Amino acid sequence: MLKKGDLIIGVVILMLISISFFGIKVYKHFSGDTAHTALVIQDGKTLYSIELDTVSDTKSIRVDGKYKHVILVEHGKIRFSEADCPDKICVRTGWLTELGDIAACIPDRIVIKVEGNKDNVDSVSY
Amino acid sequence: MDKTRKIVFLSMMISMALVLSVIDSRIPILPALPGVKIGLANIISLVILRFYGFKDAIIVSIIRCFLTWFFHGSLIALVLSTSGGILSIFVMWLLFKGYPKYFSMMGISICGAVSHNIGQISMASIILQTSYVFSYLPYLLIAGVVSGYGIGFLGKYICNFIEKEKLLDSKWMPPSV
Repeated sequence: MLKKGDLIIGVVILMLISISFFGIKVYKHFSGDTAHTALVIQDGKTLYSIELDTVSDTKSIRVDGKYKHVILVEHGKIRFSEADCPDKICVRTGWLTELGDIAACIPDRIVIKVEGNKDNVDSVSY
Repeated sequence: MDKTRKIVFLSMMISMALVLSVIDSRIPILPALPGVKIGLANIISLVILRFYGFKDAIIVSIIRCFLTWFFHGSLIALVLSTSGGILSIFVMWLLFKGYPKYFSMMGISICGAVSHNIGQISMASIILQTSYVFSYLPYLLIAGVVSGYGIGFLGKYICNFIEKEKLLDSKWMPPSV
């Protein structure tokens, strides 16, 4: 049942999985573990920028689009805690804690991203 | 007679794909991986690629995505599913050139599932304007391999059945695009 081409497919996919897995680890490593800033973005516009490390008590934020959402912010973490949308993928993603963690409500285009501090270099000029 | 048979068969396939995709969206897989589906409707794409080729498979897939959108989807889900679907059918069509000598149905289906995931995640990164969604990629790929194998297995079973009962003309090389 295993044909010649299947083996090639298997090898290629294994390579893809390892490359993407380690590529991401390397990327996160080089981004450095700087301050964690959570961005709440709706339709491309950044609504809130929250320094997760300086949060002392639990805060909840309402963000509404076509559907209602409640975002919970605690020390070092953030998440969608309630949402009206049909899939609730945003809520099911759970807590975002690390650099690069992301949760999104796709129908409403609301995204929570955790980024490093603003010194993340995107381009260098001299 | 053949034309009528083809139209009837393809229409049935579209409705079956629609039902499969609705059932699919109700089966939760791994809360850790939001948005991952079993992809049952891809069985249909496999079968149509096998017996009718690229053009018909694409048409059926696009119609099915639009119908799913009418029934219970958001616009963005439509965009994601069509982009994943078209890429996956294209990749599978290329691989079907080497069927059955070099690739099995399972291998083709795995590649289809993987390219479907890659297509969707690339489109999602464009829509959400972030490259961080790619951190899901390794887990999506693994899920794609597992589900791709299962779907390929089912597809193979159905194709064998269709061949045996001579429901359609079997060609080892699908007719050109």
